[in-house]
Amino acid sequence: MLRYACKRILSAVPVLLLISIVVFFSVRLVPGDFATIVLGNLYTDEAAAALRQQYGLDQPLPQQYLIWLGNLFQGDFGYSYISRQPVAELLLKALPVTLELTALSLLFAIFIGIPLGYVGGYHRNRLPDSCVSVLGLIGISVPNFWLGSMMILTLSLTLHLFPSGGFVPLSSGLAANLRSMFMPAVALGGAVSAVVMRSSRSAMIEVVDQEYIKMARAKGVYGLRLILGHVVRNTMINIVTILGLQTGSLLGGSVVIEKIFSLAGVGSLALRAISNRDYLLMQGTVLFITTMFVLINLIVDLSYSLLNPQIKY
Amino acid sequence: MFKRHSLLLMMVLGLLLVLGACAGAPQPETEQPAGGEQANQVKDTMIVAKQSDPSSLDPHLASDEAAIRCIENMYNTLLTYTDGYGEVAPSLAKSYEVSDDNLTYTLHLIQGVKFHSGRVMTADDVVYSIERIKNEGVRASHFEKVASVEAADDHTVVITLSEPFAPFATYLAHPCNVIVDQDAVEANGGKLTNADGGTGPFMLEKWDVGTQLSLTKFADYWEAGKPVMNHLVFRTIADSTARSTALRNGEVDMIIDVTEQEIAVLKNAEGVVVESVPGTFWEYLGMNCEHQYLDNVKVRQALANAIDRDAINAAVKMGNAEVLHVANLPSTHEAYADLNIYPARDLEKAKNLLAEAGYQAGEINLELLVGSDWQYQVDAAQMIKAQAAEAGITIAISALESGIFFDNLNNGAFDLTVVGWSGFVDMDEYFYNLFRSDGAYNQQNYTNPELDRLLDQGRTTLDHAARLDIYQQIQQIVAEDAPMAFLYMNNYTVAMRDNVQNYIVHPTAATIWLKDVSFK
Repeated sequence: MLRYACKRILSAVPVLLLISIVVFFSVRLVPGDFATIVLGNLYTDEAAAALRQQYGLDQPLPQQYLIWLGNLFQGDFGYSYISRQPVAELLLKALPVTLELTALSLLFAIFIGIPLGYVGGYHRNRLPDSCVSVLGLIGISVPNFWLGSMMILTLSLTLHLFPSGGFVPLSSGLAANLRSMFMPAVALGGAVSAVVMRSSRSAMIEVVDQEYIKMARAKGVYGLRLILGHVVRNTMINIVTILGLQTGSLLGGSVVIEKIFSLAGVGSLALRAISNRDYLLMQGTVLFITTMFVLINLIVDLSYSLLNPQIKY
Repeated sequence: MFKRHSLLLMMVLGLLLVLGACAGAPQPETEQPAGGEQANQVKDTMIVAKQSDPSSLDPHLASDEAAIRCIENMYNTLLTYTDGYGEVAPSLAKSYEVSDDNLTYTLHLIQGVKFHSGRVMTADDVVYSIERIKNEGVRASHFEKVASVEAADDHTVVITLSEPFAPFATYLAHPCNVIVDQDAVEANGGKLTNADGGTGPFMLEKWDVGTQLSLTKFADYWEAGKPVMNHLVFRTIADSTARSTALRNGEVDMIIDVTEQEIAVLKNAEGVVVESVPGTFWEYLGMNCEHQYLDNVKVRQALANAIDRDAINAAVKMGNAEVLHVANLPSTHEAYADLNIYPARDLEKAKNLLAEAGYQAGEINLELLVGSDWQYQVDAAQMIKAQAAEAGITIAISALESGIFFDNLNNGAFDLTVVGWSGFVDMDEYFYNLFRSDGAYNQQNYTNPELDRLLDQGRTTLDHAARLDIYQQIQQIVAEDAPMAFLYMNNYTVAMRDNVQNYIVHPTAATIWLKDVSFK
């Protein structure tokens, strides 16, 4: 399995290289460059030319790309044109917010979505299943920005239970941190858990009709013992796949939720970088998100062999 | 079996370790009193919420609203705005004289002003700062008439102009034309992007980019007893509803950019005071005067008469803006010409003008560019499109992302546009660069030799009454020639908690009075 993991990691390198090229050139081909944004309505050719020269934006594109790539291999991700802070530092600051939001949303999905899905699949086509299906439909259909805004209005403004926005880091206290993250996690986790719910429901339906389940029932195993002992393991591959995909997209940051709750996460960082044509920051952020996706996929694939001993790499 | 379980367990433990490590990593600190918990403690921190984060803290380079609002609290100018619109008063220059030929300005500096580094400011710093403004380009046009600037002694600066320049005193009060510490500039590689080289009431404590800027009181500030607050925090909350919610919750003390939609909500909120004054942000329908149809003045006038400014104001600005019936000067400006050239929509006149120009209804097709970031401008564009259609002009709207939008605008790649300008004070600012034939911001490619002559006269005439008369004529020409169809001048609205006192809401949106502010 170690060999397989190494092979996968090595094969990811050309993918990342290709993505770096696409990201680099595509954003520079969009009309309006950094000088245009910074000067806005006060744009004059002279001021713009001076700015471009200062940031090395007047050099030929391939040359700029190679300079950036060279720096990358030395561990230098460059710096933000806007704030002059190193890209690595800005990413590290945004990471805890996004990581915690992702983790909490996943926990929500795992502890609510999976059990509900099991219930629905186990009692297929009966009342619990209908309830679960409706819940899942609502979870997927309700826009998370609407849910977030509604929660702010009721839980924060009217009931004063939670702050309306902003991130309180763990270093300021676990309680304060969880309070500030509760509403965003629920707003985001709702949709994720609905997707996981549907996936675990269909996985449960598939498994529950198998021969070995009938055998187990015949031997007198039923209810929770049946599910925990014989069903969970066999449904996990489908569920873990879905969870992996959701994690990948969550780690890319949820721009809308971050805006509503004023959380300075990876999503808003990327959006700000794109709007400001802050090229180096943008490239660093997109490359980071892509790497996360590749890593998550690898972990998910490796986990298959843990979940199903018959799968060997 | 056991081996598989332990591997899974190790993966989970690993994830927990990663989360734990992130707890120790440097993170943005925000103050979060939920639901007004800290309301009863003595507050020494003023938290101001705004929509965007500053692009940079370098005063001579920054041009965005968010940056200027932060910078003006960290730095000082030679002269400063007063609470009246259009007036300037002494600041770092405690007095000044102008020679009889209006070419020489002798400024006397306050003695003992210190930079935040502790070094005393002298006339050499003023000379350095003015040279830097000219070199950095962004506001060099403010000082383009300066032939020389010299330090006569440690506390006297002599500025000599190449020709009389009426707006000069106003430009010396612009919040970004500040005096900077040369040592600070050089210590930070020639830029003050995230460094502090000022003399202002507050100094830079910490800038969490994208989240908030924390400033702290400068103990050696030259104005006695100022600033009153110990800490000033500018917090970035991008979503307008989140911003007003934070104010209603008591999580922030003031919002300096209240949107029209939020005004009604905030007016009804408990513990919140809303104050509106006529502002300096005016919006217009710009017309590219080199376009095949728009180079005909009658076509432009047809558009200017076809649009219903009052209806757009009512729908887009909830009736809160002041409709512009002449040119871009608002009625609050001393040079306002009460000519009422576009009193109301005149559809018949628009159709007649189009016919006189030789075009039939439906013959003219134009593209209107607007920035998708500014929904109120997109909405105004939609209404203009409908109104112009009734006059026989067909408009197609392109809402573009801001970078692409400005790129097209600056390259003259547009027929029509809806956009705005803000921050102008002197009458020269409202007209010269925008309408003069080679004007730096003349995106409409408008040219009129008679207007050029008047504009040149307007900025070299220092006699006040004569100047007002010149600008009356300028407004008449600009309104009738219609390179722009002027829409409205927006109100500037600030909302604050009811325990905030001594703040002045200024038409230019300047926040320099934050040094006076305190809690009841």
